[in-house]
Amino acid sequence: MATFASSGVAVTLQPKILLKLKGYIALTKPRIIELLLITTVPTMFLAKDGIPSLELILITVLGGTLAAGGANAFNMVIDRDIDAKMERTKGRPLVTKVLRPVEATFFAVILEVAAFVVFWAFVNLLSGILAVSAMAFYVGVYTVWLKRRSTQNIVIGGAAGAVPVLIGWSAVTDKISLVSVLLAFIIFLWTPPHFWALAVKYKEDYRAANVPMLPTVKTNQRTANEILIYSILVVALSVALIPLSSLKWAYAGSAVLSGLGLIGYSLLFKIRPSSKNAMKLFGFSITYLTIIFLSIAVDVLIFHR
Amino acid sequence: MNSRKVILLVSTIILVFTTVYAVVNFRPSSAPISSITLGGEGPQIGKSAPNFELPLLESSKLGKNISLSSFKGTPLILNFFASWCSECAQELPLLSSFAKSNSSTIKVIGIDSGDSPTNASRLLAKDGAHFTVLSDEDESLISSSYSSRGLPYSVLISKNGTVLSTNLGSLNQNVLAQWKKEASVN
Repeated sequence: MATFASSGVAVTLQPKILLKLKGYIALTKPRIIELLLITTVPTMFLAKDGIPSLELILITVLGGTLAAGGANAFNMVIDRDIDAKMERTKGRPLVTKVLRPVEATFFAVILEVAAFVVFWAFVNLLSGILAVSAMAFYVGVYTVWLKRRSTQNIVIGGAAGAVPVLIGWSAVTDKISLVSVLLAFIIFLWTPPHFWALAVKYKEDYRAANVPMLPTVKTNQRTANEILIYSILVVALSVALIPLSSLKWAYAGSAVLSGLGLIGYSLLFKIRPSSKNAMKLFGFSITYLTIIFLSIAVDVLIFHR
Repeated sequence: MNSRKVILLVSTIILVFTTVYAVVNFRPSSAPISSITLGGEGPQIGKSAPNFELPLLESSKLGKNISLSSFKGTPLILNFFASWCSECAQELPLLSSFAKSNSSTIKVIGIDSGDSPTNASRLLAKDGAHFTVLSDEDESLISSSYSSRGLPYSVLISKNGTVLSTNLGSLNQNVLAQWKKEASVN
């Protein structure tokens, strides 16, 4: 070791197998999966009108994680050319060549098959079909078709992110109800403000990769206008859910207060459309969704047992 | 294993390999974003600069418009900016002092684009802009005849109204010196 150090060669003795393992984990985008859990589990509480069995929760979360992880891995295979051009994503395993595209694709296929089998065998067929359809939509409609062509790419692609809520509901009840569709629409409407706020910061990255994210091709002012519209819509829907569902004041209070917060941050960004205000909005958008869904779980625990 | 199971197994394996092969080799085509952006090709070098009419920033509510053609006879630098654009704010002092020291040979016109006039006035008041500033609140220019992929964006126009050069991003001493030379010979 001493000889290496003295010759000035930096050596990290990380075994290749460990590097590969880390690469496979990175392929699933673990951070996005966190968001999946935050929305799915409270929805299961609401569907059950109480606490579902721990076993069902764990299996549903496992299936959802496998399906979303597979979708993200497919995404990284297809987008490896543009990921290489972007600062934010150039550390991804297919860009750094820790993994080969063939390895990543096999991994993705295995994850999807495993997800479907887990749902079908231990939950129900509907949940399995929903999970695989969401993956197909995300990969086919978002990654392949819209991402490189339309400024509305993430608006429509956001539908894939809304499906985990439907899966949570169907896992408990074996069907899809109006309330679950409304919850899915909350995520659908929440995605544009959330993602565009982030894309404001990385607009030059997307320009370098030739990806027409809205903030890259329109001014911040225009982006702010669009964000404000979606923020108002998502807050209106979350409030409309109060009379339409069995939820009571724990949810109602949280939805109204955090909704005011979301609109407030969107307005702040509209009044002064700086990158800094966009990141504040991005940060709060995550808090907002967490509050909405945690308060659903809390509401169920307080009033429905 | 009976023959049905064998067929099922083989077809599954074929399906998996075909999927993997297809995904790995698939390259999505992308439209270059310049063709989706903002619309129009933007000002063409060597062609005459598209005319427009815009109100002065200070009097944008009064609706008195100034047209580009009214500046004919003087070389112009159009500088598209917005108050939220930090690069624009950075180049402002340089542009302002350039406008002041070259006021007899070249005219600088700021065009506040897609921005609230109040915010723009506040920015200009802080740094003191020694040039004419027009307001294009709904960004009608940078979304059509002066299509740009970003701000700040500057266009050099000769005294007889021909586009000589464009610059996306911050202006610097060198570009301005070069532009001054170009404007004097054209």
